Amino acid sequence: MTNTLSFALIGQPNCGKTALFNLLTGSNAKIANYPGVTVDRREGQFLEQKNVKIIDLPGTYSLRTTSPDEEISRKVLLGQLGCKPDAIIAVADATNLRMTLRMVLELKHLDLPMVVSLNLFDVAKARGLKIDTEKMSQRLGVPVIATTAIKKNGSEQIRQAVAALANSELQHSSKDSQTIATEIDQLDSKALYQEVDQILSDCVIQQNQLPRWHQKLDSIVLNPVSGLLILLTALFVMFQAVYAWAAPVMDLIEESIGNLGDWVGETLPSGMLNDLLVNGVIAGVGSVLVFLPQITILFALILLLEDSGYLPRAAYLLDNLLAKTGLSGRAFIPLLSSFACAIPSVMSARTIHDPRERLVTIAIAPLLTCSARLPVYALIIAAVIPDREVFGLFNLQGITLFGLYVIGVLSAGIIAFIMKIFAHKKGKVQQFPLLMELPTYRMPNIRHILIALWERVSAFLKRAGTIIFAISVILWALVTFPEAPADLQAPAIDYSFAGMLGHLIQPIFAPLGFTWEMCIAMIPGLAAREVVVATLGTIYSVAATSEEMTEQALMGLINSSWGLPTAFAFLAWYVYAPMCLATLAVIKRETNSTAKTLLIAGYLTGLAYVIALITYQIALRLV
Amino acid sequence: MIQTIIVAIMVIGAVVYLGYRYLGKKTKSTCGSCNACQNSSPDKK
Repeated sequence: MTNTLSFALIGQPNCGKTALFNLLTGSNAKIANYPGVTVDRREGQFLEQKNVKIIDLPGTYSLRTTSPDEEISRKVLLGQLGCKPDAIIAVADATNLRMTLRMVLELKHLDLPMVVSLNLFDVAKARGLKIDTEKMSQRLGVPVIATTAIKKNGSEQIRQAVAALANSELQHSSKDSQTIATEIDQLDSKALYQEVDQILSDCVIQQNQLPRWHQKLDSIVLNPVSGLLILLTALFVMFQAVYAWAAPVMDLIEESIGNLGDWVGETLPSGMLNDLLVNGVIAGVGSVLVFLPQITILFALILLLEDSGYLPRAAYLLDNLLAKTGLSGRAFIPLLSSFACAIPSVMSARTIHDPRERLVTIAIAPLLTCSARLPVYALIIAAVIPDREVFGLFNLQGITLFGLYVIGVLSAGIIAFIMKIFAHKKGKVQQFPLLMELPTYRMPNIRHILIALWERVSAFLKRAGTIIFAISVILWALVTFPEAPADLQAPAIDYSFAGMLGHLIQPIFAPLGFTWEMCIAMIPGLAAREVVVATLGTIYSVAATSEEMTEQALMGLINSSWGLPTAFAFLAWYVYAPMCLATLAVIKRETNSTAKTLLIAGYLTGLAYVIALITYQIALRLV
Repeated sequence: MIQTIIVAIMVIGAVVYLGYRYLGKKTKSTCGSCNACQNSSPDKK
């Protein structure tokens, strides 16, 4: 039996480590054209040799680390987190050799077998850079392989090199971790750079030059006025597109689900199973599936922005603005991840050096609208906001959705600002300058975007087919049993378990205008926010007393039974409420503090209640 | 009768599945909406 070997994949941020990891292991881990995507170690099996475990580590510029994600890389390499790796695959950015080679020289002090993957070689070549890899290999004393990890055929040589490394007799260092750590900490940066410059003058024939269009584009995109306009326009168009492009497919899905419900209802003999499938499963799962096109479009547009290299420029642009709230541009990328999901956002706050700024970023991340909230917003907006054009160009529903996202962003800014004032009084505010490498612009890689999009869409479908399916079944049982007495004086659903529980909770939310159905829907919504939509679908389907009501779509039922003040209050609640247990669990893990987690959950719930109350009371008087 | 049995199996199955997912399976917390957090950190201090 062969021994298991572990090879660590390490390099500076955004040099394509995860792309190479995906190619070597056949994984589909998230990659993007900006630094800080990987914030924890990730493992996979080498495709060519199953006994080799590849560990993808967070990017770091040096082994003398400054942030929690970089610290993970150092600890893994020194064997302070479990076993020490048997060898290193150092990923170097061919377009930024000076910084990257300094890191390789530091890695040599670990005294481990190593192979260097000179990645982004195609980009370097396109810029006229000529690198003699053989000479570099001789100078560094380790194999140097040119790679293009985002292309499937760009990794053949590195695969062979890794396989050769695995089959060779791997020498282990005689020094202990502490001695190596001390040696690394005592390295002289100046001497390292001198050595790098010598290697570069020997191995690089022609220097790297950015194309002129690149610099011209940067002068527009990074300009405080034109840059901000471009950013706002990009976001505005994104939310308009979510409504405008998705509508035809959504109508088609809604019609198909309606037809499926009719067909099942007519085909199966009437009875309990018929009722469960039609009013429980199809009404519940179907009402969530309707929003798949909107989620797909939103993700596709975010992925396009990610892959093009635009996002870090937006971070740079917003650095000054964020500084006013006590944050820095470094917080931008974690916060931006929140628009997909708060969990990766909370985790990627590890790239933030200042502990206070990191905690504030984690605390405000749930305020930014995640994709799971999109079905809730979309349902209520479609139910109560008229589908008409404004100024003959914009869609009113799209503007409302954009407004909700803006409210989330503004609220996050205000909360961060308030926290800054508190911290200022205690003298805890430290402003760190933003040091971030701007990646080169590139044409988005369609293969990567489609893979990443499929990851997200399949995750959404999987969730609809598992959690949402199961919750719909249980909820159907709760709204159906116990059966109403023969001489019923109220709607039959009021006698059910769900009806009783809903009426019990409802007084707490009565000042917000919430009905008992909404209160019930919020409980399973803690598992995943979009479950609220499925729950409302099941409750209203079972509660429908006439055929006319049963045929009405969920949006129509909400429109006729909620009223504007209640709908607005429910939207306000969902902008602020920490209604996602998974996020709270990750906050607990990342802050390592129950008190901080409870504080964050408490302030978000309190804020949600107060804002929803104010919204309802004002709307009640105005509408 | 058959319908009632199938319904009972589905409801019990759903309760067991959700119970196992949220209470029984002690692994990392993810919402499943994307793969950005598919990281391994079993030995995180």
